[in-house]
This record gives sequence, C-alpha cells and structure tokens, in this order.
Amino acid sequence: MGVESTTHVADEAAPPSPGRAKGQASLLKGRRRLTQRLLALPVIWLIIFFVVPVALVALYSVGLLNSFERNPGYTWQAWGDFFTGGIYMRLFWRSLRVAIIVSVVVVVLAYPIAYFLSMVAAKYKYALLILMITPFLTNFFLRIMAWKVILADQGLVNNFLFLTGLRAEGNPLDIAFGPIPVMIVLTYVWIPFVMLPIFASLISVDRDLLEAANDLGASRWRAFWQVTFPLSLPGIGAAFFFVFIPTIGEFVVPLFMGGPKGYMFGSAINDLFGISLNWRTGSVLSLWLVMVVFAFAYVFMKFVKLDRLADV
Amino acid sequence: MIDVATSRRAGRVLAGLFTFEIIFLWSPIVLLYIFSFNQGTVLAFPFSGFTLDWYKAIFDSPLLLKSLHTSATIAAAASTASVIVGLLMSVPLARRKFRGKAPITALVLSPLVVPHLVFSIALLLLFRFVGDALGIVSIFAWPTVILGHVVVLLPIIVLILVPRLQRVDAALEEAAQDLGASGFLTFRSIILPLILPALFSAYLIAFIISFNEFIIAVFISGSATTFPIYVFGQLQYPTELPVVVATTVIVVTLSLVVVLGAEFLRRRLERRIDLLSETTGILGVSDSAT
Repeated sequence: MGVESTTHVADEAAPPSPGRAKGQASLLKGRRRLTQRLLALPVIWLIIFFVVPVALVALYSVGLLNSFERNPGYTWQAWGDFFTGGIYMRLFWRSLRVAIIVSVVVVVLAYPIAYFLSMVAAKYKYALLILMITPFLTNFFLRIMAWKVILADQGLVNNFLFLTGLRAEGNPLDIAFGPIPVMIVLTYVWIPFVMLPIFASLISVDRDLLEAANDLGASRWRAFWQVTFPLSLPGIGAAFFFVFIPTIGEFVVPLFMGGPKGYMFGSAINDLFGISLNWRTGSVLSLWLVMVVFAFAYVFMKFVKLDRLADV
Repeated sequence: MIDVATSRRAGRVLAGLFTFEIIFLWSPIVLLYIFSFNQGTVLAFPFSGFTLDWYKAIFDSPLLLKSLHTSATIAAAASTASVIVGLLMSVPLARRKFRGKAPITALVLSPLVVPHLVFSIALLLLFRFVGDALGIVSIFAWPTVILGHVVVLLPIIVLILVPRLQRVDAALEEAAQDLGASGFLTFRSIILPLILPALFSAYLIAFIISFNEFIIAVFISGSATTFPIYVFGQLQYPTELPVVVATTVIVVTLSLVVVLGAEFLRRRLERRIDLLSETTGILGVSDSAT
C-alpha cells in the first residue's frame, strides 16, 4: 500500500567499488538490524492495541468471551440472527445508502474548491485552505447545535421561508429531524477534511503536461478531462473513502438530528453496547461493518495505488 | 498552463462557488460567535442583548477548565508519542527495502479503515479483559485514551512523513555515510532537518485531532472528562451552554491563529533550510509543482 514503490536506498545502492565491498556488507547488515529495531515498537503497539482488540470483538461475536452471562460457549447464533432477522440488515442498507450519498455529494462539492485553490488561487492558496479547514477544528457538537438553530422549525431557514412567503407560517419545512438533516450536517462536516487529498492530487499534477496538451492543440476542457481529471482520480478515491468509512459507522449526528427515521447502523451498535448491553450482537454488527469497509477498501485498492494518495 | 480553471469565466465561477462554500462552512461558526455574546441561555432566536458574562464565567467553571486541561494533556501526550513512533516507523518504510514491508504497511494503515466506533468498542473489550485478568475494577482513565489515540494517529502521521522522507535525496545520505557518518548522525544532521516542517505539521494535525476526538474518549475514558465529552453532556443537560460556546469561540480563534502562524513560520523555516524548490504546506500537502 502506501509506501511500496520507493526510492530504495540501502539494498539497491550503486554497485560497490571493489575496495568498499567488505565495509558495504557489514553496513547493510547493520542497517537491516536497525530497520528491525525501528519497526519493532510500532508493530508491537499496533498488535496489542489494534489487532488484539479487534480479535476480541470476534471472540465476543461467537460467544467465546462473555461479560454478562455465565458459561461462555461457542455459538454462531448471533450471526445467524443478524443475517436472517431483518431489522439490523435493513438498518445496514439504510446506512449504506446514506453513506454513499453523503460521500458522493461531499466529493462533488469539495472537488471544485480544491481545483480552484490549486489552479487559480496562486499566492494565497494555503491561507485560503486554512480558512476552509478551520471550521473542522470547531467542537463537533457545537457545530451540530448551530445547525439545529439553522434547521429548526422556527430556525433560520424556516424564518427565511416565512419572510419571503415561500412557506406559510405555521407550516414549517420539516428539516429539523430525519435522514435529510443528518445528511446535510454530515456533508457539512466532511467537506473541509476531504478537500485535502483532492487538493494534494491536483497540486502535484505536472504543469508541463498541461502545457504539452495546449501545444498539441487541446482545448481547455479537453486538457481538463484528459490530463487534470484522470491525474486527480486517486485524490477523489481517497476523499470518497475518508467520508464513507466514518459515515457508515456514524451515530453521533443521528443521535441529535436523526429522530426515529434517521436511526442508523452505528446508532444500533452504540445502543447494543451502551444501553441494552447485548455485547454479542453488538460485536456481530461491529465486525460486519469492518468486513464491509475492508471489502470496499479492497475493491478501491484494485483501482487506485495507495502510494499516490500517500502524497497528501 | 492551460486548463479550464485558467479561463477567466471559469475562474469567476469557481471563485463564486468557493465563496458560497466558505459561507456554508462558516455560517454555523459565525452563529456560535454571535451566541457567545447573547444574554439568553438557550441557542435560539431572538437575541436578548449583548453580554460578556459567558467569557468571564469560563474561569468560574472548574469542571469546564478541568475538561480542557484533560483534553490538552491527552492531546499533548498522544501527539508526541505518535509522532515519535510514527517517525521510527516512517524512516524504514520510506527509505529501506525489507521483507514483510507490505504486511507492515497494511497493518499501520488499517486503523484508517476501521470506523472509530468499532475500534472504540474493541478497545473497551480489551481493557475490560485486561482489567478482569488483573482484578482492577476501573482500568479506564485518561491514559487509556492516549493509548487509543496513538493507534488512530499513527497512520495519519505515516502518510504525512513517508512522502517527505522519500523526497530526501538518497545521494545525500550516501555521501554522509561515505564520509564516515554513523547512521544516527546521518539521520540527525541530514534527514531530520529536511523533514522538520513535515514533522511539525504532523504534530499539529495529531494534536488537533486528539483534542477534538470524542468517540474513543467516551468509550474508554472512564470517569475522566475530556472537553468534547463535557460539551456532549452540556447538550443533553444544559446548565452552562453559553459558557461552552464562549470557550469554543476562544478555541477556534486560537487554533486559527496557531495554524496561520505555523504556516508563516514554516515558510520561513523552509526558506532557511533552502528548500525553496519544493515546499510543503502546513497541512502536509506537497507543493512540488509551483
């Protein structure tokens, strides 16, 4: 993934001159040992605090670990219920749809902005980029609160509609709760974040290629579609993913703005662990989420080389 | 350079769209700025008069101050640890070829692909398991949050550092070693200065993410209250919501100042170490084309 195609220094060094060969060999050996040492700590850390916990979720999902019942025993029942029960599956499809819609909308809105910053806004592009990203640094909940002020029945949007007569007073647009406000707020939350990978891929488009396209008689649009856009595809893919992953597991925004219709798969997981204390079913749902995201990631990786997007 | 964007009409359309989205992104925040000066205790119209009381009240709220302190401590520890560990890891990933590189890369990036909700639950199960095994009733506290944050920060740091490290000319490193410099000396005197700006932006990004992180914190912080957890509580049982809004206004203003200041510093730093040919934005975005 990220870093495979690299300029390799050590083991592909220029052919050693005869007198240097011996020293080179011991140097390489030393480097190999150093590499192992440098990697040991992070790898052990990730195994203990990432791989093992996820494995524990798997053990919970098949009943081999149990916090609230006696006699833990191996059972696939929770998995069977999940696939045949219908409720959680329906929630899953709903969340998948929301996640895909939000991801697409966010990328469509973020692309022109990143494009503008990288191609047009020459001198001030980083200052403008920061201006774009600062909202992302604001406390998440307070931004949700602000959106409630905007979208409430007596909120800014509805008051505007009343004032302009587009909507009769006492008959406000119902955008305070439900899937629509959830999607609006999630879109809002992710735009600044997602701009970065798109901006990174656009800014590294080789400007000489555009000159060449021009010299060869390509129109501006043609230059965009045949040079700029294809080269920014890895950024678009990364952006899509950066939105899709957290959104499909989202539970905070639905909690405040979802209402019963905006209840999502992530909400169900959160409730299973926090309220109904059904950790086995909760583990099944969590693991299913991981499996789905990994499947998406795998397909994505088939199309896009991650080391391109590592240029962020 | 000829592209759609460089035509005058397209430039104007794009500038318009940019302005529109800036308004979209900033309008809730402008609302927060306004409400922080509003006398009313609920976030709703109409306004009931101007006041600075909420700003004064920040210092009379020990719980609020404590939550800010907890978040800052966690963020400082988690970002420092993850930048160090991330650097240890990025150097071989960027500059060496070794067996097992692909699986290790996959391992370090995989926290990006697991929703935080699931990861938090997994950590909750781990610490509970360890707590049961050791007979500790409440193992959860702010240090457990640091452990969790480092895991999710690592891939982000590696993604920022590796491309920078790859761009450091291999010949520089070889030259230093031919002249007899040890591996560590080469790293310290050649590589480190060249990636210092990237390290700095990695640290800043890690700090901000950790400071604002809610999901992992709420699952495994035990009775410790971080700032996001405190705000979450205020939304459900508001007792001093306007004070929290005022605090956030200060935090946003401060982060804007810090980030802009860092961007300014970075430019000076990169100029000093003679990297004008290729610069990297404060957010780690590479800028090799300009």
